[in-house]
Amino acid sequence: MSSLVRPRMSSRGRRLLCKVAATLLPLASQAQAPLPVVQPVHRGYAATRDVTLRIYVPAGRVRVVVWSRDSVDVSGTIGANASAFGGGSRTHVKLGVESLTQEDSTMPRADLVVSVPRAARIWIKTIDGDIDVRDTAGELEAYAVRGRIAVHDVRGVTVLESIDAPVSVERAAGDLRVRGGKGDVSLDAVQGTVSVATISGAVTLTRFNADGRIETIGGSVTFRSGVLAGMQLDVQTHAGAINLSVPAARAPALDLATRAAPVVFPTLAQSPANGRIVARSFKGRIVVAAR
Amino acid sequence: MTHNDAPRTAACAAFDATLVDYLAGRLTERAAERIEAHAAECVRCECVLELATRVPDADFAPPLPDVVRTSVLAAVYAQPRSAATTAVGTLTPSWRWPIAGGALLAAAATLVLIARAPETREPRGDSARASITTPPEPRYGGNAAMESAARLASDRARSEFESLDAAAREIEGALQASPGDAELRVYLSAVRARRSELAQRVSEATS
Repeated sequence: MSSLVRPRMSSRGRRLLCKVAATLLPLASQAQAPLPVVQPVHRGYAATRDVTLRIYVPAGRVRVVVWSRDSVDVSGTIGANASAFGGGSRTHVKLGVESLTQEDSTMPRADLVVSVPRAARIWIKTIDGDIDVRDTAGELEAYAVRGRIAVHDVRGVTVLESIDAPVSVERAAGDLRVRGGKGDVSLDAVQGTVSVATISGAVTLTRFNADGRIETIGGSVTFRSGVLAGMQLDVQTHAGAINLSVPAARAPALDLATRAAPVVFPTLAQSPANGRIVARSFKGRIVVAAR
Repeated sequence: MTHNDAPRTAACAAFDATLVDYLAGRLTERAAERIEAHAAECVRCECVLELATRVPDADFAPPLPDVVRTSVLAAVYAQPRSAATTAVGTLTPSWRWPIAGGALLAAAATLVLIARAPETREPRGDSARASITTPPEPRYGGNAAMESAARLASDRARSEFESLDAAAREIEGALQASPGDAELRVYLSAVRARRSELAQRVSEATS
């Protein structure tokens, strides 16, 4: 027999080949189809008016808004590498996105708008994402490594922490605590009690009307405007400059000291009735300007 | 006389037929005892068994630490008498040490495997033992995205840690010059507090 004659495949081998082909061909066609870049997501959860809500979105953006319904609504898009999760009870809801596979080193991404009852207690964590929260009146905790944290018109207890993300707060009342690293912190129209600490991030206070303590290591602290009547602002830096702009007519009592830099301040009619600012720096300069 | 020169009896044939099962541990206790009893009486089969159970020198691991070796030997000797008799007691002295050595080697191999295998169980309270046998556990159970997140947090915080450490060094230098300066201690405690907070934020970034 010639060696060119091909051996005949047995009927069993043919059946096996057919099964393998039937299994692999659809997979191959799927592999060729491009994956969607984003997928829409829309979910709802029944909730109490003070529901405790935990949101975890490693990358992307989370926007929290309030509405007058006893439920939590989530809408937006999630990345092709992510899957949405969520659930819980009426009093505790947890939602977010996670990786499709354990091996995928890309952080799961989403862009979500979460509507919550006004008194909800909210906890948000991102790694490389933006957080934007508006109009809440319960408790708010937000954590980010990189990205941005922006909070507007919030009341109650607010805790914001970041490593590299800038933090901005506009119109907050209650107890505000900010812990930052490299990112700048901007507080505007804040009332109540405030505690801010950064490492190299600068801190800017405008329309400030709170008892507060501001600490930085290398970041500067700037007090641009505010009314401190009956209140005290403590500022401490290691190397960051402290810039205070106080009203010439209603200057608060100033207690300023730095160990290795000048203190520059004009002659002012200071009065404890206008509040008190205590500023200390290891080697940062302190400059007071009248406005 | 070598084992090839020794006469082969019916008992030797039975020995040969069951040796593989014996070495694999598939025999019942009674059958294993029969094998060992025959090997203790038959020079040929003794040699066969010795060759079959001899461990090449190259397979020996480096010497175990004394504390491990002592505890393993103690465990071997502390076996119930019946079990010890089954394994060793009925053998001639020339068999006892190879089998005891085999047991020691098996125990050592088990320890090595435990020490090298990824530990996925929770420690059971014996922290001293766990610290010896448990390697650092992967923090995120192989979740690559969480590993990336942890790396990002650590990378972004690195320069801040450096700033904090530099600030602490400056203040400590000033404190050496004036150790009684309370204000310097306030500055130093603030720097340390910031460092502690940052370390906590980094560690909790992916929790």
